[in-house]
Amino acid sequence: MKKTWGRLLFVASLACLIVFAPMASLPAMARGSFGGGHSFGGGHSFGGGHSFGSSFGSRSASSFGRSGSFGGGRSSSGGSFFGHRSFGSTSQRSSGSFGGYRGFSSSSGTRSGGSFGRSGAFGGGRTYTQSHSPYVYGGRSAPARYYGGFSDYSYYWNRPSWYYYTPFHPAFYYNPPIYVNGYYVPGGFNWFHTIIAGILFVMVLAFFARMFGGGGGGKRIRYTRY
Amino acid sequence: MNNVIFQTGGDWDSTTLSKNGSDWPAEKLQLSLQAGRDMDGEPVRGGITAGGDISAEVYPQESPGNAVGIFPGRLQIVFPGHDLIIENTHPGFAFEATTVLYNGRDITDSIVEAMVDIDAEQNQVQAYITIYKPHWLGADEVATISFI
Repeated sequence: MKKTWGRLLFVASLACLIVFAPMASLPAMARGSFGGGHSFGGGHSFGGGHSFGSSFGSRSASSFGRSGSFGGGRSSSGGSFFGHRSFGSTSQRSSGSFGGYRGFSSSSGTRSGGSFGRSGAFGGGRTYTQSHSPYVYGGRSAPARYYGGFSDYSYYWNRPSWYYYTPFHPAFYYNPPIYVNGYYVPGGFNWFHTIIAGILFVMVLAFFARMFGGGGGGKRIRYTRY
Repeated sequence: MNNVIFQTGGDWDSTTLSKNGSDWPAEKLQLSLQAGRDMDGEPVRGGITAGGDISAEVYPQESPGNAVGIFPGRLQIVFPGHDLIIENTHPGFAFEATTVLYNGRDITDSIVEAMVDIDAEQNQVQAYITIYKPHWLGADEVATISFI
């Protein structure tokens, strides 16, 4: 019995490692990608993640790691409430995300309403960063709005690599962007692909269980007589 | 090489035993094949490749006390609806050289047990095979098929 449980544990751990290890590295992938060829954030402070904390004097690397607050150069303040991340530009920035979501202030300066550098009601609509360079998808060119988080992987579908079609890349879980009123927005979560990935995960788990565990998580044998 | 065929229609009158094409009057026929088990004796997949042992003997009428081995050779057991062929032509009678066919299907890698005990003197007939059936979904199956 001990041997059976040990095998089951080993198989489950192996399967989880295979499936979830790529997922665990998503934030790092996101940071790296934003600063790269996709030009997220219009070439401003996105993608500079490696130098945060060290170049802004009063902000130590440890506080960045704890609160996830990226402060601007001159008027950096506050940090973020609820432990959410806020990304600011050097000239003007939002001083925190009160609404319980990630706030990405625009670098274009067109949405600064009150003293907090944020327009709209508290906890209202999602903020976004609009790219300066046009985003091209399906032959149509328009600015893209980046809301942060994993949804921005939706924009990867303008130049898809083969591995975007596998469950190991986060773009697999998001639909291509949608053109709305002159700009692009993320296409949303792809539940169908998620279900496919789930089925694949179960199949992989069953495969390893059969390979190492001897039949669906242990040695279960049914005796029949004909 | 021996080629032994046991055939029955379900009663003693229709039961025959032949060796290399000739009738072979006998009192007893015994076959025992054990394979496809782990060290704890539990059935596992693999059949013959998992190791085991086999013996097949005939007690002829002319010398009832002397058992005559069948292997190396070929033994065919035919019951109504069942056709079992066990063959081992290895000169040294190596167990892993055994092949098992049931109703034309190769079950060498799934056989767990084959037992045939025909005793005319005691009026006793027993014959069955046990095979291991792995299933992707659900528990694996160890199926025992009785010939009579």
